[in-house]
Amino acid sequence: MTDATISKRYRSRYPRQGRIAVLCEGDLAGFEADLLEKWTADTQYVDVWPCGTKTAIYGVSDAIGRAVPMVVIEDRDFRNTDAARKDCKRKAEDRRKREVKVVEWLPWQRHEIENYLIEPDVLVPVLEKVFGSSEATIDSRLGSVLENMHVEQAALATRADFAAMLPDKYEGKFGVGLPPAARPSWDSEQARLTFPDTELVECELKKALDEAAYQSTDEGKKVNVQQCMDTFERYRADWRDMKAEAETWRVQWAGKEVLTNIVKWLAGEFGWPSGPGENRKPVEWDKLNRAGAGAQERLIMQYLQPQLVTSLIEFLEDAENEHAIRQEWRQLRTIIANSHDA
Amino acid sequence: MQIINVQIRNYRAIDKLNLSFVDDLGFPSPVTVLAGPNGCGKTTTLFAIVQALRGVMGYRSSDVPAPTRDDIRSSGSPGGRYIMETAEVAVDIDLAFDSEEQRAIPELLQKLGKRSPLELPDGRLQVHWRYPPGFDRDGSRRNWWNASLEPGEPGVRAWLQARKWAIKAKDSGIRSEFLSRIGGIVFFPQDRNLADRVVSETGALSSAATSSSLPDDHDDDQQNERSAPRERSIAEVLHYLSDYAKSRRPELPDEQNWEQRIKEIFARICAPKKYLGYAYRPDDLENGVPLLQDGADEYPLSHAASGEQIILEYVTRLTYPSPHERSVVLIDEPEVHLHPAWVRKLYVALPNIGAANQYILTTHSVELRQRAAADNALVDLGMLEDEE
Repeated sequence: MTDATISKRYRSRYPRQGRIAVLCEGDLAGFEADLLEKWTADTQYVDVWPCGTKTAIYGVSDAIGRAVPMVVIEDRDFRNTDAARKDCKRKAEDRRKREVKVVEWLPWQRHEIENYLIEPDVLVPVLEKVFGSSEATIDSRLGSVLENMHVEQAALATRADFAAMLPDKYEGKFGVGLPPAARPSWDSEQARLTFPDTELVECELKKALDEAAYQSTDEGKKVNVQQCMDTFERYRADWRDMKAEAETWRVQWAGKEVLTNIVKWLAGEFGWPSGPGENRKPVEWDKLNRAGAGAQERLIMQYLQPQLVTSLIEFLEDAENEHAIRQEWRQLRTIIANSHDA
Repeated sequence: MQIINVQIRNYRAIDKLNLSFVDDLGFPSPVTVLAGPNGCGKTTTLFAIVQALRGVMGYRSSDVPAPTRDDIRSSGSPGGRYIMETAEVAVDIDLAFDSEEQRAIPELLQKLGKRSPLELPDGRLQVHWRYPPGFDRDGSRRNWWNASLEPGEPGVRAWLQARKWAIKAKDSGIRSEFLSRIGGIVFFPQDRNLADRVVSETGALSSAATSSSLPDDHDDDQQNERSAPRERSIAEVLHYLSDYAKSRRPELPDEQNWEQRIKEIFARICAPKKYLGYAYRPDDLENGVPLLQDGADEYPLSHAASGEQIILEYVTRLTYPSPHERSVVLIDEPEVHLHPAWVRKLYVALPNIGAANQYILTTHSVELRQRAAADNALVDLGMLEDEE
């Protein structure tokens, strides 16, 4: 059987109709799939495959990548850009050795997809409309969230660094989130989001790292937790008193957490209808159990998603705008548009 | 004008259906996609909207036939024996006019020397259409196309007829000032006879090149619907718009260059294919054709793929006889004749074809269904497995 015959055979078994597959993280109803489909709609017919996680992307690329050319884009997370690029390059080369048609394997230049949506020019107009609040009020709430989130973000970054130091077989087993006690919570009486004390976050973080280090000791080698806690201190010091004008939080922080916190604050303060046609009522997050709060959060995010996606697309299409993220997305679109020739 | 809510009873496939076209926060949805298996009432919903509004808005469409008794839904008996019940079709529609329309309509009426319309609470009114129609005071049966309005005082009807009056205005200044500010209704059927509707490239409009404005294509005399002149094919309209643009160059303002607008939107959906305009061969300056381009190839509309013809039909009819903004646009199964890639592009382009239009689509397309779901624009009228 010739290479061309094999290639045709793979192509004919490909279950979708696009000429190029774009693999990303996130789920079927996530921001990435939605954004990438809309952003590339004018170029060519793209099949977006949201795979959930990096590990799953690696697997799916093997499953479908011999049938169709593929562009992969994964979260940068807390890695720096160079490290993320190097890692992506390694994965692409590895897959190409196995006849997988990788056109490009790229990291987002920001932490994750939500980091593009929290860009104030994208986010604030949507929140103004949806919550019926003024730009000044939203700016003020965003400012408060940013000023107080440095501890949570430092802890998340430290966990990510720690996970990267674990032997491969343990890395995937170590979650990246923080325990509820170390996360911001809603105070219905004061109608504001409150942030946990640094000591509490530090204590919860150390407990989690110590436990994980103990469980993942490999051939007598154990990750140095104290070294990680020193890193936590450095992150915390670097990110203290974060201002809305700064670039750091938009690029390096976990954008999903920023988005969630500002939305929770506004829904708690300005309310959300309990059903279609109902009046808004302040969401008392502190009176909801974990499942209830999660369901309410998803409901609001589901409503916001198309509006945030449209707002970002308009921002990216603004010809006057020479912002770095516009350049990044245009470059991505060019790569995808030219991929069928690869 | 936007539809907020529709209630349908006893009409064709529908026993009872209530559809809301606003989101959880009460904002009207710019696009709504109705999906579901055959027989769930998708097309019937669009027909019901047209039936209820055509009379009060003076909208003429041969694509939705006049109702007959066969359209009245009848239920079977428990034993399975068919029983003809004396039911009544009821379609109730809540409509909202945005703040721009609420300003524009009284202004238009003042300019036309008509009485000011009754002020609407929250800019909303209700349309109630019944079939068979009721009786007038003199005992005669009302016309089937008549609907009652709420509030019911005189002066409410003007809200729905304003666009028609703007189109019929003799002063072209009034048309250009008001048509983009006042919405109407357009229906694209599923059953498309492309040869008649789109491709016919003969019968150019005689006054096209010298006309000072778009001709009046509307006729509020619904009784004459069957004998009304046939709709112009898209090719004829493109001919007219081309001549209109040429006759006014170079002063033609961008917002009146409808031929250019059609070219741009067509390119956005069908790229790399282009609509080049209405062209004449050097040896025949009398009979031209709408010309399309794919790379180095140029070809007339009659040679174009059915998908290209359909897209050109959508874009042209949303532009002529007057550009639609703030209108209700109903499209029955847009995926007919279209590759999934173009279905996606059309869906993405819709909000840019008439900035404040409300689009209500029906579909069996997985592609369209997924896209609509991502935008919270999907109304699922039932899954196939629900039928079992």
